[in-house]
This record gives sequence, C-alpha cells and structure tokens, in this order.
Amino acid sequence: MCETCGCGEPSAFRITKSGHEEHAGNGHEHTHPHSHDEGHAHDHNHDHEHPHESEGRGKRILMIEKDILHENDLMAQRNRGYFEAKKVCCINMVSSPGSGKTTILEKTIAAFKGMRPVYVIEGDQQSMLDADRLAKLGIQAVQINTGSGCHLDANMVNRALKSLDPAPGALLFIENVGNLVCPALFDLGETSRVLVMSVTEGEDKPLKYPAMFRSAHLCLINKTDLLPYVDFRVDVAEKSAGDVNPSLQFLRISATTGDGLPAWYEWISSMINSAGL
Amino acid sequence: MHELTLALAIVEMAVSEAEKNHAGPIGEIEIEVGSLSGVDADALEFVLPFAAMNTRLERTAVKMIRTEGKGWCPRCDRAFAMAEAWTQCPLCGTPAGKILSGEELRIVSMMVND
Repeated sequence: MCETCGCGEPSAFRITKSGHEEHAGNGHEHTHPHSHDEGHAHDHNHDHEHPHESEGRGKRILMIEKDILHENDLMAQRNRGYFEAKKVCCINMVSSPGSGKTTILEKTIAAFKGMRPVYVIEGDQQSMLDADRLAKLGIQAVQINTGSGCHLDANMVNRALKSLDPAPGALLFIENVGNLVCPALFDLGETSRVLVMSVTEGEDKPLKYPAMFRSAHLCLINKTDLLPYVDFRVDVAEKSAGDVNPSLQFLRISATTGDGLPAWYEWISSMINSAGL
Repeated sequence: MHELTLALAIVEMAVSEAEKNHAGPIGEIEIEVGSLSGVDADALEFVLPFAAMNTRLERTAVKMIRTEGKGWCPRCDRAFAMAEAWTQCPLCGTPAGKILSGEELRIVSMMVND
C-alpha cells in the first residue's frame, strides 16, 4: 500500500543513476538505523515517566513529546550537515504537476554548469524520463522513483546522495514529486525551498495549499508568456501567497522565452553567497 | 492525503518508545494535531487503527488533542486566533508574523502497563 495515499501496491522506492542499472530501495525505512561509532549517544530516554497513583498499580504515563516527523527531521538534519560540510547548495523544487519545473531546470543547469558542478535528484512516481532529459545536458542526475508514494523524504534523498556523491561546492537541485500537499511536510535538509506556480493554475492556489506556500522561501511564477491567454492575475496570486507566508519572495519568469530567468539566476547566486557556500 | 504515512510513523515511534521504556501493553496514546499542521485530524484518527493492525498498538485507545491555530501580530504585539493559515490580525489586518500554535504534530504521551 502506498505509504502516503493508501493506494496501490507496496511502496518500494528506487534510485537510479541516469545511464546506470537501477537499485531497488527496500521501502521506506523509517527507523534509519545508524551506528553510534562517532561517540554520540542517542538515548533520549531521560526518565520522563510520571507515575500517577490514581492510574493504579503497574500503570504509568510515558511522556513522549516527540514530533511525528521526528525521524525524517533527524535525517534531514544529517543531509543539511552533509551539504554544509561539502559546501553544497541544495534547492528543493516543489510544485503541482506540469508547472514547468523540468524546463526551468534545463535552463538553469545550462546557465550554471560552467560555474559550478551541477547535480539533480529527480523525484517521480515512475520512469527515468526527467533524469534522462536532464542528463543530456552533461550533468549527473539520479532518479528516485517513489512507486506510488507522492513525496520525497529525507531518507530517500540521503540514499540518493550516496549514489550521486556531489563534488564540493556543487549546486544540487531536487525536483520533488509534483504535488502541493505531502512534500510540504517533509524537510529534506535543503538549503532553500522553491515553489513553482504557473499561470495556467488557479490564482487561489496559495489559499488551497497553504502548508506548501508557507514552507517555501521563493515562489517562481512561471509561464508568464501565457498571461495574455489566461485568466490569472499575478498580483492576486502573490497577495494570497503573501498572506499565507509574509516572508515569501516572488519572481515572475517564463522558462520557455527566458523572460525573468536572469533574476532567478541572480537569486540563486545571492542565496549561495548568503549561505556561505 | 498523507495521513497514512503519518499513522505508520506514529505506530513505529510508539512501539519503539514502549520498548525503550520496557513497557507492557499500551492502553492509550495521546496525539496532538494542530489545525494548521496540514494534517486532517479526522483522517488521521480514521487510518490509525489500520496502521496499528498486527502491532502492539492494535488495542490501544487513541486520544486526539486538536490544537487551534494562534498567530502573533508583529504590529499590535498580540496573539490572535487563526482559523486558516492566512488569517490576519483582526485589529490591523497584518499577516501573522509567527504562528504560536496550530502546527503541532506529535505524540504527547502513552499510558502503559508494566
């Protein structure tokens, strides 16, 4: 059964390097076993039991006070530490399907690959299509097929990183599964989260999917070349998104015509600088 | 609809906490879900028994704490109730500078037998 939607077959994600044999993942391992050789103790069992007399003999209350996404968040922090140590700038691109993420990446990769090593982790339910499409640009791309799962989690990204082994100082893009719901909750350890919204979608999307808009740093409004043909008021969309996330930044672009892309490249460069990467 | 993923994570975390604490049967688990967390508390409550099937939590009672959204207005320096993630300060119309509560998604406690 899909870990996320409850639909379909057992979820086993697959990580495949473009141009390589695929490696099957053994499903979501949410326990993330890891060795403690580094000498750090993970014993969070600090005697939080509060036995209540009234509960009767043998009964006790364990105070857990732990986030449900705790395991994912721990792994995300490991990824984040890895990125910091290797000075890798990681951008998690999220959007609904068909917003133009892959086209944006094609243009962006072409712009940056002369300056820094560029890598892509592609997340899709099925197929190698996107990873193969981006690998044609002469960069390394790894595809995570989530099966019927509808988001990437920090564990999948961690495993993909081991396969990709990005060079120090790299620019790494994660193209998340096209979905505005689930990816919002899963921190991958990224340096920055960029949400792509296209003008062919409803301008009320920020109000329908507030969690995703709240979790993003930048909102790219794509396909602006189509504005004359669609009923989409950019200022209304930006206002709605700003209400949900007052610190969200906006850039209007058209990946097809190249309009606004220099500002996006500039945003990436300044983000790399301000993160000290 | 990612509630099943979360339900499975809850069960896994609860089982591991019970083991760590050498607990016997788990009578009740208390889960807090904020109204702004992006998770539907009703859907989560509905799928939990399925996630708990054939685990130590199969017969565990679930107590859901639904926490209402509360934001902080940077202009008025006061807290206000947030029905939605985009609810603005009712006095001045400024969007919440910080969400004070409503984003919770956690296991609070478990009542266990020895």
